[in-house]
Amino acid sequence: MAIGVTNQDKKKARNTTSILSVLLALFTILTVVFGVLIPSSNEKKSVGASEPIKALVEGEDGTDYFLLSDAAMYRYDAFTDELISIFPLSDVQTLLQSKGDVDKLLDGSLNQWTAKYVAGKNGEDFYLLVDGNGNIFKLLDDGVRLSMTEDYFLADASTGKLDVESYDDQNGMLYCLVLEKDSSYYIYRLNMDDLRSGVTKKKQLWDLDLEGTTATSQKIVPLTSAKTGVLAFEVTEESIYLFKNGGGVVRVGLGLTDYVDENGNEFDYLNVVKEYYEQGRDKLAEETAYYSYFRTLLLQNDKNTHSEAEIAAADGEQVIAWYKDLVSVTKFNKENKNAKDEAKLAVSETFIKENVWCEDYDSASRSLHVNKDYVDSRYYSILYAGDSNIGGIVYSEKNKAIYFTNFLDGYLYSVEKEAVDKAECGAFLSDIATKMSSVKFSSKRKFSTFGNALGINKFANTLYLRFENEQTISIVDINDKENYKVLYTFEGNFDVLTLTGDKDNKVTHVLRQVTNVDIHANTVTRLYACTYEPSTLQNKSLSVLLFVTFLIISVLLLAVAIWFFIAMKNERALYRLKIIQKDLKKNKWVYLALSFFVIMLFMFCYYEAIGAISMSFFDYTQEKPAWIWNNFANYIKILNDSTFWLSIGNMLFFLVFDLILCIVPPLIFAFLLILIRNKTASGLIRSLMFIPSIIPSMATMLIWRTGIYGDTGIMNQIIGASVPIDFLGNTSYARWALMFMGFPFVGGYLIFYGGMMNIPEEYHEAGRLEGLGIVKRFLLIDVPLIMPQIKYIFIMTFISSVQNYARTYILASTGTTTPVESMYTTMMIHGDYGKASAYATLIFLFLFAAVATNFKMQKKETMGEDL
Amino acid sequence: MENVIDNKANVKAPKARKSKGLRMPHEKLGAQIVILTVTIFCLVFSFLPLFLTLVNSFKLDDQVKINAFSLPVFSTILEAANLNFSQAWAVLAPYYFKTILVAFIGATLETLIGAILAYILVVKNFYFKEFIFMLFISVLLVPSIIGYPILVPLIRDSFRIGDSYFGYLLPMIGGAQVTGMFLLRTFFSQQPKSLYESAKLDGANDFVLFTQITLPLSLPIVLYYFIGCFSGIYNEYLWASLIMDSNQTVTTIMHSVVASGEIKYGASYAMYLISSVPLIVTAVISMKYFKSGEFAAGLKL
Repeated sequence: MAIGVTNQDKKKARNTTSILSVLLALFTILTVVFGVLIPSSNEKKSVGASEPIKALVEGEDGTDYFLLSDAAMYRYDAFTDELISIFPLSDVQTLLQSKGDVDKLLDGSLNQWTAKYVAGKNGEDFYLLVDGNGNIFKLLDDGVRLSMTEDYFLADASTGKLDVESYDDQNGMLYCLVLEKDSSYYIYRLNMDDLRSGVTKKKQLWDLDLEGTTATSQKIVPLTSAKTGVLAFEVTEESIYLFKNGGGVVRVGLGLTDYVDENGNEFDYLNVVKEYYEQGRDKLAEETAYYSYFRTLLLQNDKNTHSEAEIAAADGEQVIAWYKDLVSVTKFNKENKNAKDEAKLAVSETFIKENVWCEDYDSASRSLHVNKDYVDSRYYSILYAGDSNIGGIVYSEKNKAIYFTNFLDGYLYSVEKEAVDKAECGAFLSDIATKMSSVKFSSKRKFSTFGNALGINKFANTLYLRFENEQTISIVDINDKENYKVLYTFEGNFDVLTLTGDKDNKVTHVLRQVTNVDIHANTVTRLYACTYEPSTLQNKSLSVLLFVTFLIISVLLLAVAIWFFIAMKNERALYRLKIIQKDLKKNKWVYLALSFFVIMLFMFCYYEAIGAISMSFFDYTQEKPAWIWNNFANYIKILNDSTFWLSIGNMLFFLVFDLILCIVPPLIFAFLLILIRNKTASGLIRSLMFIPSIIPSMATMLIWRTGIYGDTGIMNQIIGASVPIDFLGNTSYARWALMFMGFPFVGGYLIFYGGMMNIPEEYHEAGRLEGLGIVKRFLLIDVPLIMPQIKYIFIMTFISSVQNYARTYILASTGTTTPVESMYTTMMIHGDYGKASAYATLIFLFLFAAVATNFKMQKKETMGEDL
Repeated sequence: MENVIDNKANVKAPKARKSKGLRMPHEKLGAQIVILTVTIFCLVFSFLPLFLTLVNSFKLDDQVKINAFSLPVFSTILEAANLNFSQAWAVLAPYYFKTILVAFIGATLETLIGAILAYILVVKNFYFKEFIFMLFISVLLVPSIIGYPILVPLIRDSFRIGDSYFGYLLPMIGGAQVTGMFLLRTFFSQQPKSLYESAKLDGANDFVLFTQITLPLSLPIVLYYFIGCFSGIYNEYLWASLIMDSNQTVTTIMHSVVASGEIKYGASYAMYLISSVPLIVTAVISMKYFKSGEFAAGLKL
């Protein structure tokens, strides 16, 4: 024992141990730095990456913009698109909890809590954050970071949800459009000056007076009902404009402080409007029941043709109703309520203008019913859409004009703000709008009917138009009023939430991804999920790569160091170490070459396998490449999905038949070839069998898909049914059709043939002497002797059958989903890598269990034989 | 012809001469006719996709629709060929030679790496041999598909080589070394050790041993593996569709134009025919070397 170990060796081992310890310490520190410190700073940035971005808000002066998700507010530099800072919304939660105000929230909790709006001006010291429930928070801004203050207003049961907000920085007012519980919209006005002076009694400050009498906040009359919806809300110095969904503008005058009535009382314009409302309401109250009755009747009668009937007028004797989509009037006789008077009147513009009109009548609510005579159009007016159906509407401050898209005729329209202000109440928007006929689009293009059909770049004064049927965004320069120009049309595949831009005239649109389109360079940069700016992403992946490298080095060093440490004490270990040292020296080139292969192996096999199994426990999607633990949600989702169990059934079906079809027919075919006496014939057949393999497997599958099983494929031609049979689309045939693909299944005979060729002839002769027939010879001699080949094919078929994604995907069959196909679609179509990993892991577990059993049996022979 | 078989058998394993007196039951004429009929039946049906491709790429669309089995009509054959092949080539042309080149480079590298690795693990003796072999062989238990959710972001986002043929090849080469090593190692280890010993005595280094002994002696299996790699990369669809956007391969472009209905009937068959051309070469090589199937003797787990 301990032969060849000298004291010198021991000394060497001691020295090496100490050197190794120092290196180990060094690399451990590096590992910790890259593994813990850097990722944690990244992690902080990625707070909220678990949720999709819900909104994009431009900073008021265009120097920065905010992306709002359910968990955080990301502040970006508008010029460089760099992430400046992140405000985690959990800060709000923490503050509310510390103040004990969580209970006062509308929902009683902060679950599903979303930020909705940010207002403020860069350079000032605060921003306002409005959430989806109408709670308002004041945030301090130091130019980079935002921090919570104790000034906040919590919406409660008495106030509704804030829907659209606008901040008038000129007057320091925050205007909020609130959807109240009565399903009507109200405007709230909040005075920012009081906020700025830092009033401590926040509750009093923020309490909204529903009567609308306090100076700091006011509630204006209900403007339109939730049924109609509001497309946009624009506050200018003089007026508030409310753009209704589908058309129509409600204007509420602002800034007219010189209104004095005949008694010399000064009025706040909002109160004036309020008064109109009150008067109208009183008058309306008498007729409410009457209206309600006829509306029901009307809807019942015309349920099938016109759902959107409006009560237009009632003169005490009869009710006149009109439809949005059909300009006709039905008269109802008050005396004979049950019968609809068939007389239909053609409605004229003058008729509507001259008659008492009611806006969005809702029997359950206190509806606005303003008599035209009561309305001072300086303060309040409503314009109808007329012949237009508005998909998007924006206001250009530079041009002092309103722009809207009319998706009925596909043109862009502009209206001078002055014209809107001067227009009589009840006028038609289409009468005063100018068709921007110089901006022409291909007649094929249809404007989006959703609210995001039109966006404006306030800084470059350009419009962004989105088309519904084509994935196209056009940019229109509106600086020159005489000559509007289409600057650029961008085509791409995107979902658009917000169309806005910065001074460089980039389009930024948000929904699943934030994509910056640089119209000058004609390039598209995909900013993965906002938190991951390209630069951050690169840094992160680099630091991860370094971390992994350092971790591996550290672990290896630790192992070696421990070994040396043991060797210091134990002579046997020292001896072994000496042998290894010698081996390393002798075979240094071998190890050098191997290190290349091993690195490749780890990079492209181990890293993936371990990574995928780990990732299956996390939320990780294409939009948000961040590892967020999700309590096995991926597995729970998959296992609870009934289609998963169907797909397992399909997988087993294919597996069983694949195993049979890949072994039995080729085995018999190979045996038949062996039996052919004429060796020329057998050789010819074997040569010819190579020829079909020249068709690429993709082409073969496509031939089966269209040429054989397709509508005009040979199967249908042979059957000759009048209606082609959809072999792949029919759930009951599809599996069998797929299975039959590859008939007569003998392609894999060659390996069996080779194996049988090498069976010595005397076995067969001996068998013959024993009186074995041809079948018995096959089963008792040939098959057992080529068992290694059969096992090889068995394992290979097993693995490839379970992984065969192409068959079901390329043949586009229905009802034949396999787990692999689910994995592919989850990854490529839904971009959900975490769930895809869970699929992959389940497939792996299945294969591992099956193949490992087999391997275990085989490994020993192979190792013993070859090494 | 019997001699050919016997000669080959002599190389592989000593085999006794067949004694004349014993007559096997299958050697009767009737049995032979049955056997030939069955094998030829299988052969003919294996030709079905190829037959459809050949006849239909020279037919007009209407002719394909009416009867896909019919032979091309002589009068329209030129018109149909011109129409079909020009349409098919317009689709394939931008990616055709690129795909062939990529498959060739990939197959060469995969074969070379697999062979070097197998050579090291067979010929060289070193302390960690068993450990490293286990390290490689364990990967065979892991289906390649499992790594894709990690591999795709790695290639696309970390290495930033997504949508390139390099990013397409690199992981394939990295993953293929295990199968290559596993297959070739079995064959290399069957080569006579004495050859290596005597060459070493003559002063041959590893490079000489590898290029002058190992590779020439196992040319059929190396070729078999090379051809397998070539057609593997040429036929690859899943990985290509995951990693490529603007760059396409022949398979991805074929799938997309057929799935979208852009190319139908005659033109689609012409496209399949054009895409088969590179594989004709591999089939010819296979015919020459693998007809006997003798390489299969070493194929086992």
